[in-house]
Amino acid sequence: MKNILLLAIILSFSLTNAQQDQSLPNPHRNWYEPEDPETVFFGLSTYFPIGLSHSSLSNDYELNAGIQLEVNVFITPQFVAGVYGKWHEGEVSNIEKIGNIRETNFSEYGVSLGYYQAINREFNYLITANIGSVSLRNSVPFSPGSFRENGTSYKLGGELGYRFNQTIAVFARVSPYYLNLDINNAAYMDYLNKHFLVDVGFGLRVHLHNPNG
Amino acid sequence: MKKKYSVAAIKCAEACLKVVYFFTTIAFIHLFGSCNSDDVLVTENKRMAVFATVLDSKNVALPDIPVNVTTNAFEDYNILGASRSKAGGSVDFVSLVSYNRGVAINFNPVSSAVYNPNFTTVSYIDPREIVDREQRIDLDVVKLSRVQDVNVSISLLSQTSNLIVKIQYYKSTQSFALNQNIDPLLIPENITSNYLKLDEENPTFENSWKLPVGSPIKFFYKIEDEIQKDTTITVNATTNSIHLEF
Repeated sequence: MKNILLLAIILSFSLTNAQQDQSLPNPHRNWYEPEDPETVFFGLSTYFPIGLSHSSLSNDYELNAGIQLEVNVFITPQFVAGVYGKWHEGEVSNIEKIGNIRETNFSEYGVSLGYYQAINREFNYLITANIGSVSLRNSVPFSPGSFRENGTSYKLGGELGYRFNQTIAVFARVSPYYLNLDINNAAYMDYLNKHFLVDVGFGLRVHLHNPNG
Repeated sequence: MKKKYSVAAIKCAEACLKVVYFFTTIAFIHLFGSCNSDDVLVTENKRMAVFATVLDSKNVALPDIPVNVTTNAFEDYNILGASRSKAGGSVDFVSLVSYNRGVAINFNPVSSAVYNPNFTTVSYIDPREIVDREQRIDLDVVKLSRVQDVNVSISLLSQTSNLIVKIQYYKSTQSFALNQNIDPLLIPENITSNYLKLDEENPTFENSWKLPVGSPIKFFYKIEDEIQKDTTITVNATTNSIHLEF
C-alpha cells in the first residue's frame, strides 16, 4: 500500500513537470500564429536601380531592372540576419567619361541585419542594413570581350510587406545605397568611384515556421 | 602469388599515369590555346584622362573634331576611348588603359564617322607596352592644319630626254611621340617621298595629294647628267595645282 502511494506521488510529480516542459513561451506579436515562432523567410524580388549622384553610373548608364534573392533568419523574434544576391545590367549611353565599355553586368553578394515588426496580422515592415561585395563585368568591343572590376556596397533597406497567410507574403522595397568602386584616375576619382543609387522594387516572400515551437 | 600482385600493381600504375598524362596534355592545350595574341588586355581599376585644346594653324578653336585613343595609330578597331572637341576646342575624356599594347591618341582620325576631311590627322604615340601608364595626359595645344588637294604634274621639255625626280612632302597624317622618353625612331615619319623617272617613253607624271596648308613640297631633280637641284613650293589655301616642266 505504501509502495503504491509512493508510486502515485512520483508519477503525479513527473506528470506535472512534463506538462510544464511542454508549455510554450509567450507568443510574440511578430508571429503570424501564436504557437508558431517565425524562423526563416526567403525573398525573391525585382528592383529598378536609379542613380542619384553626379557620377558615371547615374549619368552615363541606362540601368536595367534586376533580380534579388535573399534568405533571412530570425535570430530573435524581432531581428533577422540574412544573405542576399542581386544581379542587374547597365548599358552605357555615353563612353566619354567611362572609356569604351558597351555594357556592364553588376553582381552583388552580401549580408544583412534587419529589424522586423508586424504592424498587424497582414502588414509588416522590415528595416535592414546591408554590406555587399560588388563585381562588375564590363563588356568591350574588342577581344577578349570583357574585363572585371570590383567595389563595395553599403545599403539601407526599407520594406513594407503584406501577408496573405502564414507562408506567403508580398512586399515593396526602397533601398538607398552607396557603391564605392576602386578605379584609379586622379582627375575623375569621385566621378568614377562614388555612386549613390536607390533600388525600388517589389517581390515575394515565403515564410517557414517551426510548428508548435 | 606475390609476383602476380606486383605485376598487377605495376600495370595499374602505368594505366593511371597514362590517364594523368592524357588529361594534363588536354589541360595545357586548352590553357595555352585560350591565350589569343590579338587580345587587348585592359588594366583593371584604371583609367586614363586626356586633356587638350584643338586649334587650327591660325590659333582658331576647332569644335567637333573627333578624338580617340587606340592601341596603335594605324589600327582603328581597338578603340579604348573616344570623344569630340567642345566649344573652344577643349578635349576632356576618359579612356581605358591596356597593358599589353602601346597607345595612340588620335585627333581627327580618318576612321571616325565624323572625320573632318578639311584638316590633318594628328596622332600622339607611345608604342611601348608598359604597365604603369600615366593616369592623366595633358597635351596642351594640338594644332591641326587645313589640308588642300594639290594636283602635281611634271612633264619633259622637248630638249630633255631623261629626268629623275624625288618629290618630298608632308603627309596629311602627322605622328608625334607622346613624351620625350620615346625613341623617335619608333614614331612614323611625317614626311614621305615619291621617286619617279621620266624619259621619252614616259614623259609625263601626274598625281594628286592632300597636303597640309603651309607645308613645303620639295622637288629634287636631276636632268640627264647635270648635278642635282631642288626647288620648294609652299602649299597655301589657293594652291590647287603645281605644274613643273624640265
